[in-house]
Amino acid sequence: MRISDYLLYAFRGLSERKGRSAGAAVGVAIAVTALILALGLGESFQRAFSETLGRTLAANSIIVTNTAPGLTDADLLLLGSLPRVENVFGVATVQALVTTASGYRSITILAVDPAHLPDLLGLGNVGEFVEEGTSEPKGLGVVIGANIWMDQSTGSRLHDVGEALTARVGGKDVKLVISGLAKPYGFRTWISIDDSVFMDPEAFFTYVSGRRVYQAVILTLDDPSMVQTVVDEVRALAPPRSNVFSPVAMVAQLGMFVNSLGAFLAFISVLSVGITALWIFDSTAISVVQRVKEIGILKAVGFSSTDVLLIFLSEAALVSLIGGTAGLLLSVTASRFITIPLFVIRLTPSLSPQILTVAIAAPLVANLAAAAVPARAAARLDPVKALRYE
Amino acid sequence: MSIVEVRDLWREYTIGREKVYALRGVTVEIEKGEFLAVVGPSGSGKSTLLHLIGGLDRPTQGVIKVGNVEVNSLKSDRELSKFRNEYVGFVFQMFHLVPRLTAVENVELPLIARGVEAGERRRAALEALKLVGLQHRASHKPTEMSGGEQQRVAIARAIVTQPKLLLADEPTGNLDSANSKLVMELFKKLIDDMGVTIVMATHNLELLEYCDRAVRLVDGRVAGVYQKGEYGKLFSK
Repeated sequence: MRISDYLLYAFRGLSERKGRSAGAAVGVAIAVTALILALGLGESFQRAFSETLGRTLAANSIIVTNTAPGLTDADLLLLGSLPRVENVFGVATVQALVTTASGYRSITILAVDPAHLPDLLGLGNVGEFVEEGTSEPKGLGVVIGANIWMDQSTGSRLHDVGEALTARVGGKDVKLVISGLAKPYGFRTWISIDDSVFMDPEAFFTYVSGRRVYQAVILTLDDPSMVQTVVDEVRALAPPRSNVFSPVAMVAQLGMFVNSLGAFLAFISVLSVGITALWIFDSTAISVVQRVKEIGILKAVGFSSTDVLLIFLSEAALVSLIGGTAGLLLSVTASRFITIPLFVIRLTPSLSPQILTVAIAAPLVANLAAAAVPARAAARLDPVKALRYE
Repeated sequence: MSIVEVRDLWREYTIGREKVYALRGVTVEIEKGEFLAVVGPSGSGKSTLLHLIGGLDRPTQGVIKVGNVEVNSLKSDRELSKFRNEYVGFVFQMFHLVPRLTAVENVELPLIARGVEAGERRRAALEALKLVGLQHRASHKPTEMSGGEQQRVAIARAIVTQPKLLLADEPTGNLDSANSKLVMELFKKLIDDMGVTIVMATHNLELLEYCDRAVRLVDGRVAGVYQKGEYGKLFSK
């Protein structure tokens, strides 16, 4: 018998019991979709961590925030003196309003020593930060975030290097000069880079804020494995109402969330695969009972037991492939709508060839195994008894 | 020249603890192109003999030769199914067509088992349907056909592989006399045109007029062999 004939004959068998076949195919589609999304999200997170988060969120850093009363230079010195702390710098922020074509928009003025910008942004060098102009703000010259100089909906440019920018801070106007345009960046733990204006700290404390305090202090350690120990020490030393955290711990928590979501989807997938396999077993068993006489006819005209076995297995394989294809299309569509924002990136399920292969193969193998039991019974039928079966 | 040789054939079944003998040492030879009738009461072993000759069942003891093939020596399912496909065509009382397939698709089945390419087997199946006068019913399903037509489709399926032997088990058992006559004339035509050998199990002694010879079975044993012209003796049994 030819392979094409197995499939053709199997298709005719399935089309005779459309309801049961369609139900089984829907089960496979759900299983494949859940499996692809579960594996895809897991892989996407692993890749995001290794390629993006691991780089941008330094594994050896600790962030201390304190919006009121803020952190002083004395706090910086104290925290910087802790063992294992290699580097420490402060970040001062204030909320401001700038004029746009449609009125005022809220921004954050962010003051940080240009030497520490790469540490803050998780970049190799500060040159990677800007699209145009200088990357180091000096005096009243500022680097503005992408959401400020670029229209977010159309992508058109709203500001250029050299233009004046008036920021209203606490009821007074501060005249700034745009010296650089930052590249689109995204979120980074506790600040929105794209909605910020970067300013020289000395100018910030002179023209914008009357108080020399920082809203955040960032510490980098010489040994990433000591992060949790140092976090505990910093919590003991930091002023009241300070918030101490490490990006690695946050990523780990998010990783747990993503993994839990993946595990939930995997559970649904395993459940669907199991239910579908049971369905296939039941459907094939009923089909064998209903077609005993037909099996006798096939054997009488020269079909071997192996042919009969393969006909019933082909039916299970066809259901799996039809359901698998539907699940694949469903996953591709669903993956466009499923996004989990994670700092600078948005996680979408990865649809790698390996994942797609596993997602198609797993229900196929399970269904073939389920169909094998009644299919073997069909193959072993005595043709004489089968022909006399009523 | 004999095409079928059956020697001391036994078939024993075990039902519960009891042994039941369907055939007890049957010996018979069938000539090429012969139309042999196997007659006898119900349970005499007619169907069992046909099943054993056709490789559908395996004997407990004895020798069955069809052409050069010693059927009783075929052990594997693969060998037996190949033998059935190449040497034998079956025609049954209940027609045994697959209800969801059309007439031509039913006729194609033995060629599918043989692995014949789709176009070639469709041509052969239509040719076989033409031979039984049903080419115009090729796309009809069994439920859309009369009993006589269904049996002719079954005959087309049996001859599509051009077998050496046609085994017909009560082929007219479900047909009226007009259709029975049609089937018998078709069998004669197949013998004349294709040189096929036919072994037919039947209760209907009226059909013997079409046959060359009759073997009477009683309780699994050969109770008599009757040549043409001797059938009158059977009516008195």
